[in-house]
Amino acid sequence: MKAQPEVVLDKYGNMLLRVAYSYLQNMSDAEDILQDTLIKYLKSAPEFENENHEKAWLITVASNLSKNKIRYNKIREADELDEGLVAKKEEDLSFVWEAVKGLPVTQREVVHLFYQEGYSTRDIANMLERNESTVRSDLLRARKQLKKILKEEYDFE
Amino acid sequence: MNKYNEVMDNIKVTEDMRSRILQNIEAELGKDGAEETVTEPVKKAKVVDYRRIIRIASTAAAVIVGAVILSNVMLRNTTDSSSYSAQVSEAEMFAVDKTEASFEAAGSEGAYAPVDECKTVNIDGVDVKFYGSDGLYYAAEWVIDGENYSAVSDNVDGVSLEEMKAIVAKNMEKVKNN
Repeated sequence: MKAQPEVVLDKYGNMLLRVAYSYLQNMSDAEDILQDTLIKYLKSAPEFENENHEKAWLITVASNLSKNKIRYNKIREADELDEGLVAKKEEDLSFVWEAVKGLPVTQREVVHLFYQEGYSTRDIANMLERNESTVRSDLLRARKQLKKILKEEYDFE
Repeated sequence: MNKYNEVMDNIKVTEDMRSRILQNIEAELGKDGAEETVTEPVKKAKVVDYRRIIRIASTAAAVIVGAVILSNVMLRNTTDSSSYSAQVSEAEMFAVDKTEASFEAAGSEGAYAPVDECKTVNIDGVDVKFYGSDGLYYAAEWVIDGENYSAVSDNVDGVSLEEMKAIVAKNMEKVKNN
């Protein structure tokens, strides 16, 4: 059965938007990536063994498109975190975001997939086509850097 | 739920975004003849950020040249959707840097987290640098015949020096046998 755009968007939209945002750090580009990912999904209509496979495929596509866009845009600075994204009373969230934003892309993508999506380092390595030991070392370095910046006030274990 | 997750929870597809995306998808799929009615893509409202304009203007020449070169490269490399496979191993793969990560020496600044300890040990005639903190080591790097190698421990918090040396020795053996 052919996938319906609204069904796919409602099911995976937030997840893919967050993946793209973790790379591109602005909503406009993240939206473009979400849209492009869904178009590729709907056009190629791949077959999946199960839902996990489908999700991993979508994340891989979104990650690759995001990294292509980073190269294309030559983004050096991210936009300011939209005030609407963080409730005023939780200004410490923007502090956390600033800390993550400062990490290199290779560490940021691992942090997002590990902490936000709950993937193991092995799954992350498979999706991003990276060496698992490099993924682990990036995760370790990111955690140490974040702990140092956030002075262990926040849970990044 | 940690703070990062809380930040991400605020990243959501809004109703406006949803409508826009669905309309644009319909327009895109319609181009392939899937739909008879062609819908004009919906353009996002642009909010003028003068600070961004100033930043862009200050590097405009370099960015324009780079964008032209990149756009030409991307157009040449664009892959027909019919060749896009579920494995995502072709088309639009980012040129992932396959080299193993290198580690900054103790006390230096850079893209990677600084480490507190860096010990050099000779293993089978090769000087291997071990990185860690608080007496535990989680990474090592060495060079053989101009090639850089590295290894990390399974335990992300680090292992004893002896255990790390064993990991390195195992890796060296694998390389020798390949």
